[in-house]
Amino acid sequence: MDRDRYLDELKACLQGLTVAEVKDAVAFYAEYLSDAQLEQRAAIEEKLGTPRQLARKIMADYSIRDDEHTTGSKVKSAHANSRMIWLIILALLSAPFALGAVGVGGGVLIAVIFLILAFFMVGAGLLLAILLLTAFFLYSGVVLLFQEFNVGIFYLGCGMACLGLLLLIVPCLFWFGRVLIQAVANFARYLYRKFNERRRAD
Amino acid sequence: MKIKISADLLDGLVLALLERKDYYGYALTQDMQAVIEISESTMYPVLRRLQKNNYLTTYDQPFQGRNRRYYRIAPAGTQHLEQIRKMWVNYKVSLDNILLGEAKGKHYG
Repeated sequence: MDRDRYLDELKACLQGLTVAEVKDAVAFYAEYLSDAQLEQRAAIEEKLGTPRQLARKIMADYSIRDDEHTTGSKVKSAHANSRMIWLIILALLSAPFALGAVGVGGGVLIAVIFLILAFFMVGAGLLLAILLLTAFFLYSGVVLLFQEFNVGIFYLGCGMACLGLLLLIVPCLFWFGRVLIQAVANFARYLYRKFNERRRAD
Repeated sequence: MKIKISADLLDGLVLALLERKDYYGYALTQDMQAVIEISESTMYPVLRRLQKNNYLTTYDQPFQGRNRRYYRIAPAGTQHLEQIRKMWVNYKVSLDNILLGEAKGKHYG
């Protein structure tokens, strides 16, 4: 039966929720479809969207609201934020109609995310370069120490300096990355709220 | 044309309906859709939010060999509804003053 298959697919698409949450959501829509006497796939999807679209909306709603509930503030771990941003993008992408201003906002969001990815690449490259340089200086220093003491000491000093630089840069990069993700998360949340206001009216 | 509605008003409308009688999901959605434009997938998050805030409770009742989940307004929900009502009256009066200030005596609707 179309209805059962729809609900099965919905269940399969609901990820990152607890078993109880999935059960609750599926039970709600099972009851809804029975009461609405919707049997045919096309009729169901006309009301609720595809299972994937519905699942994304449910997941995005969970992720946003739990966010607000558990923390009370807008600061959250980078991991949870990344997950929420991703779910919101999926929900926005699966919207079946033109989004106007929100669509533009979604485009901006995606662009910003690529920018951040680029930032992480550059950061990682920089770290790797300094790390290699440090290793090179320290190694050369130790080797040269027994041949040319002065040059060896000089190289060792350079190696130490690089190591110091590394210790300074790593926390900075880390902090900056977190701030960036937080900012994007807040923007994504704002966007999703706007998007919902619009959808409610549509 | 229908005017867009905020999350607070949405909560208020649901609680106001539940104040009259207990509802199950589909009937509630139908009655909401009779007055405002609201998509089918919007009701679930709203009900879940209201339940999480202890504004409503649920209970199951068998119906034709399956369960129907009914929603009942809780005391905290009644209080919340009163707040929303007050907010709404203030809002309505001030908007009426602006929107209809020059149009008194005309009839709309």
